[in-house]
Amino acid sequence: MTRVGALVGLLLAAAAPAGAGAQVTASSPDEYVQLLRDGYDEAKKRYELATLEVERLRKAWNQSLEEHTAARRAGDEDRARELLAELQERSPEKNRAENAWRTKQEDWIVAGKALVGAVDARLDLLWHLMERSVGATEYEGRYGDLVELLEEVEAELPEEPLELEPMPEVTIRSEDTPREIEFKARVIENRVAFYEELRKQLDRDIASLTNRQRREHNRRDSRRARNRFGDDAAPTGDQRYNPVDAVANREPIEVRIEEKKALRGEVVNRMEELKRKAQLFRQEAGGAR
Amino acid sequence: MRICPRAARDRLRFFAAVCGLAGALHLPAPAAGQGLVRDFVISGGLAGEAWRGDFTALAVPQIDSTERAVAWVGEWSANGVFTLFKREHSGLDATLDAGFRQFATGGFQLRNYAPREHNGLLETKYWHDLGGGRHGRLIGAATARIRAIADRPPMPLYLFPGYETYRLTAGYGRSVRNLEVDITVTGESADFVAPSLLRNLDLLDRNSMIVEAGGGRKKYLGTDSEDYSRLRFFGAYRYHSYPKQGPPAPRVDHAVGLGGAYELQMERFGLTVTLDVTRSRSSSSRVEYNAGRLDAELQWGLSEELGLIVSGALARKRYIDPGQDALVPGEEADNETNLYAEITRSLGLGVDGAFRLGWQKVETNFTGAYYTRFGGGVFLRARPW
Repeated sequence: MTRVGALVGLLLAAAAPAGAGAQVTASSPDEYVQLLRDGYDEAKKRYELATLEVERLRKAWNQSLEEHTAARRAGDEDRARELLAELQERSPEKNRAENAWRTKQEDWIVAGKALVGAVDARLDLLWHLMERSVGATEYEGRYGDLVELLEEVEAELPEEPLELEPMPEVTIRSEDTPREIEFKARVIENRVAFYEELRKQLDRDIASLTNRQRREHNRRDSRRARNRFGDDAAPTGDQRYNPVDAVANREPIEVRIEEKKALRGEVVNRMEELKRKAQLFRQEAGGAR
Repeated sequence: MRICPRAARDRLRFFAAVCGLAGALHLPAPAAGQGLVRDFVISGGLAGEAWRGDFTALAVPQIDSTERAVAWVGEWSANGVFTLFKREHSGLDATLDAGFRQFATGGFQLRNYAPREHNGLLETKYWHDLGGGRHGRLIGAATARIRAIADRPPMPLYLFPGYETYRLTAGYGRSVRNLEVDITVTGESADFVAPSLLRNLDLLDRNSMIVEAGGGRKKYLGTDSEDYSRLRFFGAYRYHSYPKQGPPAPRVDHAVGLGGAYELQMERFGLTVTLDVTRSRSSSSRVEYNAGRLDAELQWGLSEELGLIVSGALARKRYIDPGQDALVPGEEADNETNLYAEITRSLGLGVDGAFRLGWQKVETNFTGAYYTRFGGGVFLRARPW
C-alpha cells in the first residue's frame, strides 16, 4: 500500500461503522486506533461474560438432565416429572443465552477485524514516516507497540480462512544509517518467523485433511465397487435412491487441500524472498558501518 | 445365449463418446476456479466367489439343476469427479464412472458360462446459491446409467440384468435456525434391455417419480473442527408405474417412506446408520407390502496407511396378502442381508491396495428359496492426479 493509499484507508476506516455499528470519530490516527482498541476490549469482555453465563446454564442444564435420567432409571416418576418441568422452564433462558452468546461473538470478531484493519493502515503510515525521519526513535517504539497489538489481537480472534495480506514494501534509502537498516532487517526477519509459523500450521492442516481425504476415498471406492455392477442390488423390488444433497456444504475436501497447498506455496515463496532481502539488508548494514 | 443386444452396445459406445467429449471439454480449461479434477481413480482387481441356493428368478433366461457354483472375476473400472465450472455462488459438477467385469464360472451342469458386464454412469449436477447462500441452494441433476451383460448365467449365480436408466432431479435446501431442510423431486425412467427370447425382462421397465423432504442438524464438534455429527429425518412419496405389467391396467405402486440417518465423521473414524421403512400399495393387490431396511457403515483409519471399512444391510419385506405366492419379476425375494469388510493399504503415492470380503443372502418368505454369495478379492487403485 502506498502512503496515500494508507491514508485513504485510515480515513475510510475512521468514517466506517466499527464494532457493532457504532460510529467512531477521532482527531488523529493514533486516537482512532485507541478508540477501536477500547471498543474491541469492551466487545471481548462482553463475549467472555456471555461465555461464562452460557457455560453456567449449560452445566446446570446437563446436571438436571442427568438427574432426570437417573430418576427415570430408578423408577422415581414424581422426581422425573419435577425435573422435566424444571428443564422445560429453563429451556427458553438457555436458548436466549446461547443466542446472545453468538451475537456477542460476532460483535467481538467484527470489532477485532476493524481494529486489525486500522492497525495495519497505521503501521503502513508509520513505516513511511520512519523511512523519512532518520533516527526518529519515537516512531520505532510506536511501531513495535502496534506490531505487538496486532499479533495479540490476531492470536485472540477465531481463525478465519487464510489469505495473505500484501507484502510490505521495505527498501533501503540512501540516507538510512546502519542501525536503521538493521532495524528494517529485523522487521523482515520477524515477518519470516511469522510465515514460518503459518507454514507449520498449514502443514498440520494439510496432513489432517489428507487423512480425511484418504478415508473419504476409501469409502467412495468401496461404495462404488459394491454398486457399480449391482452387487448390492438383490431382486427384492426395493428401489433405492440416493438423494442428491441439496444443502450447501463446505467446499469439497479436494478443493480445501488445493487451497491450503497453494497458500503454503505462496508462504514459502515469500519466506524465501524475505530471507534473501533480510540477508541483503544485513550485508548492507555491515558494509555501511 | 448372449444377452447384449446391438442397441445396448451402440448406446454404451455413444455413452463412452459423451464421456470422452465431456472429458475433452473439461481438460483444456484450467481457468481460475474452473476445470478441477476433484478425484480420478483407475481400479483393477481379481476376486473369487462361491454361490449356492435354490432361488428362482423369472428374468434369468437359463435354468441349471446345480445349487452350487463358483466364479473367478476380473474387473477394471475408472471413476472421475470433475468440477466443470465454479463461480462464487454456482457450479457444475460431473461424475463419470465406467466398469468392465469378466467372469469365469464353474459348477454348472449344462456348461460353464463366461458373463461379461459393462457399466457406465454419467451424472451432472448444477447448483446455485440464492441470495449469496442466505436464501438456500437450488440444484438440478441429470443422471444416465447404462448396464449391459453378455452370457448371463443361470441361478444361483445371480447377476443383475442389463438396463438403461435416466434420471432428472430438482431440489432446494437451506438452513433455518441451525436446521438443514431440503426437498427434492426426482423423475426416472428405467428400461431393462430385453433380448427377443427373454421378454420377461420388459416387465421390469419402470417409470418413477419420487418426492423426498428431509430435515436435520449438522453439528461441528468444536470450533474450527472438521469433525461433525449429523442427524437427519426424511419422508418420501414414491410413485412407480410398470407399463408392461398388468393386465388389464398397468401396475402402479404408491409408496410412502419414512426414515432417519445418523452420521458421525471424525479424522480417523466414521459411522453412518440409515433406517428406512416403506409402506407400498399398488393397483395390483398381490404386490402390496410393508418393508424396512437398515444400513450401517463404519470406517476406521487404523493407521496412516491402513484403513478398515465394514458395512452391512438388513432388508425385510412382508406382503399384505399372506397368500401371496406368485412370483413378480424382479421382486422374487423378500429379505436381504449383506455384510462387507474391506481393508485398504496405501502402497505409494496415489496407489492403494484393497482386500475385500463380502457375503450376501437373499431369500423368500413363502417358499424359503434363497441364494447366498460369498467372495473375496484383491484390488489395486491408482489416482494418477
